[in-house]
Amino acid sequence: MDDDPTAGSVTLRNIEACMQLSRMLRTSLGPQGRCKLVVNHLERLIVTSDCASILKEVTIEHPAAQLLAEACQKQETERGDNTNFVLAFGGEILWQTSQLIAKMTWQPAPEILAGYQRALTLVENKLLPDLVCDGVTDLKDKHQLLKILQPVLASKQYGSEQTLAPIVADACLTVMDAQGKFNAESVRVCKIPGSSVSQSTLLEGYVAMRGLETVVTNATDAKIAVYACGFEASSTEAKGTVLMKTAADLLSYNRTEEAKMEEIVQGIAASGVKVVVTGGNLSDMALHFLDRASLICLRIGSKWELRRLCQAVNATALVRLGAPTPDEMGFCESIRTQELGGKTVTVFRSHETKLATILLRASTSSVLNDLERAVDDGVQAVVQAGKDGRLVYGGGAVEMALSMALQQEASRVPGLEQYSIAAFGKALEIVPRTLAENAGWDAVRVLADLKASHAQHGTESVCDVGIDIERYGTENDDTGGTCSMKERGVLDLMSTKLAALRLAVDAATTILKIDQIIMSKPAGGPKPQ
Amino acid sequence: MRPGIILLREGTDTSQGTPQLISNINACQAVADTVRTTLGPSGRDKLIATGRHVTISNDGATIMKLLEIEHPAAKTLVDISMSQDAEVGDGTTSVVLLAAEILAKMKPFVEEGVHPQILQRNIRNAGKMAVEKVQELAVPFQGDELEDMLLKTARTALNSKLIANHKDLFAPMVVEAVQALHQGGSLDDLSSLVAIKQISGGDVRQSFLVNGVAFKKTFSYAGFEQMTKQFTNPGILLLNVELELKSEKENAEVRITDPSQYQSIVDAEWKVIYDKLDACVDSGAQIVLSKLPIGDLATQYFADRGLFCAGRVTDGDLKRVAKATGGSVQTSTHGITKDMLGTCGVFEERQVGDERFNVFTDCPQKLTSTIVLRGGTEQFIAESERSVHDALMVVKRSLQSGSVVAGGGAVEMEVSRCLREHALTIEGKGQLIITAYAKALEVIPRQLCENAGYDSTDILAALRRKHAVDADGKWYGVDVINGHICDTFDLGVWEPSDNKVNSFDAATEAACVILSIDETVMAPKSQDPNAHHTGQMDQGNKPMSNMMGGAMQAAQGGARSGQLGPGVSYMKGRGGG
Repeated sequence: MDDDPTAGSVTLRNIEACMQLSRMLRTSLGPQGRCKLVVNHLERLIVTSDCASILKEVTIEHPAAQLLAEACQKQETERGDNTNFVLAFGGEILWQTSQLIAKMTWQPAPEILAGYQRALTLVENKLLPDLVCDGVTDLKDKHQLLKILQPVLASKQYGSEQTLAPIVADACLTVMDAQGKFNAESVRVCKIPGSSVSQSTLLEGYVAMRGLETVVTNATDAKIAVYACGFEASSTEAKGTVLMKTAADLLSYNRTEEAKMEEIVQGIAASGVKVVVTGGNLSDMALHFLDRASLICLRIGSKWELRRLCQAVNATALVRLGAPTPDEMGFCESIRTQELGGKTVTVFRSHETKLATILLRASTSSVLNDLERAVDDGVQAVVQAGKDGRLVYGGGAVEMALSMALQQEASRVPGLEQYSIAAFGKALEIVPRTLAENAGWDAVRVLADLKASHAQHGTESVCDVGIDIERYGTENDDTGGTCSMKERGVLDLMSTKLAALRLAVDAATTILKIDQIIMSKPAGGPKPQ
Repeated sequence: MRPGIILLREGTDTSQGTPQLISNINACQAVADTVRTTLGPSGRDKLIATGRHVTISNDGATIMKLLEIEHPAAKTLVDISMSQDAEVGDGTTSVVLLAAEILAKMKPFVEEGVHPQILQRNIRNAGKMAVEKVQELAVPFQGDELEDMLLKTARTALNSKLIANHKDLFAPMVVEAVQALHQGGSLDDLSSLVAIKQISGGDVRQSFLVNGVAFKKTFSYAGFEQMTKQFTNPGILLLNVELELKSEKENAEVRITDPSQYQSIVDAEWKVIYDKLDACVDSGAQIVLSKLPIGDLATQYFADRGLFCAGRVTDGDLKRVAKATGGSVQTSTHGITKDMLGTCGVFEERQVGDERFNVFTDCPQKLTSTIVLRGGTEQFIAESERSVHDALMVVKRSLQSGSVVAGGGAVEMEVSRCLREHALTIEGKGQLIITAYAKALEVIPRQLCENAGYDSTDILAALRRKHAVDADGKWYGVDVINGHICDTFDLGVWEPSDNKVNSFDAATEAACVILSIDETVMAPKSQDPNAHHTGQMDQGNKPMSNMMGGAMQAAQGGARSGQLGPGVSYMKGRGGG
């Protein structure tokens, strides 16, 4: 044991754990990435290649690997895309560090970490902005949106991006205000199993996944009253007994309750409302009077959905029964029920309000859920583009260019930092390499080809050569593998990429700083089984 | 040796790579093998015992649902079978077979190391081409032949079912029911407007269709037999009110100070119920139906006045009556007006077997119909119901898609031929993959032959030749009666084209999903005793690599597995015992 200097090194063991995690998920990187079938602790089945979703469903025990996973989750919440990049790059940079440590004293020198920070600053301030090749100038331009959406969707749902991208773009355009700003929550997704992905469509307005309660099932130019409470005769929370003294009381007792409800419904009908939405129970009595007044009634169980509907029709949810004031009423141009794949849905259409529902169809629920995640990522990408529209070439092109630039830069730096800057550059190669591997190429050769094309490229323009993931026609493993990303239209948002890099480096440096892990015993005795 | 690192929570299975993919494919094949024999007119049925309940079925979706498949990848097949059931209603077995066969044909490629992404892309292309080809082949309905066309599709759907012998009885029933809906423009409400009622006993041939609503006589009280059981053009009152003498509200209490008031309270209670009954009678209705009980008092009261009443009518039946008769369901007896009543041409109580039925016919709204099924055993009727339901869905689909293709494997053979021809024009691996996909489509005619007991190789060869050589041979399929090939289009074996489009789409998608998986990560179940949180990292007894490799065995011997052979280890073994 004593002659093996690696035995006691916590750093190396931490690196190993992170490497395992990163290797495990690396096969899911990029459009050609493979899916993982995850069965979570509730026995739910998830088929996805989305890194953050996989990490969410499995419990990672190792504390160092947890750090890396957290970085990945953060990328998901902040940017929604490039999550696997964080993991792949984080793992790779740790691997490169372990090589460096092996060359040195078996102890991570502080210079290594300093070098990484320096490399990151360099990339952030100079190298990456230099590689910007295009930009989104006008978010209202569908063509430009498609440019961002297609690569994002392709990396999640390869093969369906041509169907999905226009739908997502239209959805975003629908909900955008004049300045191109919008809330990602305004784009909703509705999943209905059956049919195929190509049958997915966009519906303007709000779609509730259930039918109407009443006999009347459609209306146009309708005012809407939304009640957060149940539509029924209110009963007291405290236990009470109705005390009757005379026969007349007994006779009128039931009448009063009925009359009250009738009065409420008639009040609502008189205010011009045609549609009533309730968040709670709907009593038979209430329904009876609603039908009599030819009103439409929809029940929505979830509070969240109810809020969504309020937003869609500009209504205020009331907590007491009674006619709404004109301010509290919502409005929509048409309401109708529709059958889709054996399910009845209710569609609220309104031109004024900003809400779009993407109706996803696919034959299995796992595909549906994966489609939903892809759409979420796509919408996130458009939001990000609104903040910073600078684009760089995807498909490993920008990583290769950065990698080469960093390695050149490294040679000008004296001291130990030189090694770590070079290692940083080397680590970036993981992206093109993994892309090539996942696409089924001979990665070593393709990487050499890619490097050569980047080296031969002049300095006057940005090199757009990346990994050819499509692999059409060519079955010969000795040639091909690289192609122009400009022609393919594979572009990534710079800001997303940068955020991913920053998170990965932060996680990696934190892990490298650890020299001991102390874990307290879980509190209490043995865990209840 | 250094102790291993525990990366994931203890008890988590991870398995990765090509072996994982192969094992997923094997699991899917095992599932397909169980339903394989049920395909087609000569398909056999499965008896599935779930606890005390016994189901006999050859409906793919029903079997898949009852099998309780636990293998995570094979669950995908259940999904597509369900989606086919919801979307089309029929063809649930073929979609499973097709998906499993595509995977089986891809297995050699996976073993040879072809990248699964290439497989997926080509399968997806092939699937797209297949769907386009079906749409191109589909024969649209002609206006005046509509009835005939629908009858043929209904017959074809029934052909593969238990009641195939009686298809001439059921097909017209099904078509009539759906046509009534179609003419009323509410095809979407099929499931709520067409009811299928089962009465065990008698003979299948005694099944009949009611153009209106029929439901079993409800629980009745004394006085029921004195009621008039037949009306022409009655007024029908539909209630959601309990007509019984009882306290109005649970928590109401009467306190009186003067004993002389006692009688007045009792009188008041009686008055409440009599008021309600009077309101019903005064409305001018001859028939009173309620979702809630109608008690002795009310029954006799109505009987005295020549009315008919029935309480505890189920929600679905009451809604159907409301729809058919044009009435609306009332929750209160106050303020009933004439226009809230429904009506129908004839109401009568009919004796069917040892059951009595309330039958409403000649309704103003000719939308609803009820199919009453008779049959020897409970299982037989249950399966008949599923078959009739499938036929209903198929006819509905035919009306919606407006076009048909020939069944009996003909359309699969033709699509297969086209794909094969197309494949030859492709360079590289795609050629082999698309050819394999084309071959996978042949599973349908092959299985049809095998289930009928004929030599599938001979018939398939004949079919391939016919489709390749003869320009008019595109509708040649398996002749399951004579064990040869025949023009199934001429024979009237027709299926709605939507059915095929959906099953090609779904099978392709499912195959792609399974091929895209390269790793299964199984988190331990929440309540799994093995899943305690250790909180220590240096006590792992086995290295991580070992954990990965051993995951499959662990999965087979672990807490969540059954005891069957490899491939089906996750399936809760039910059939074999």
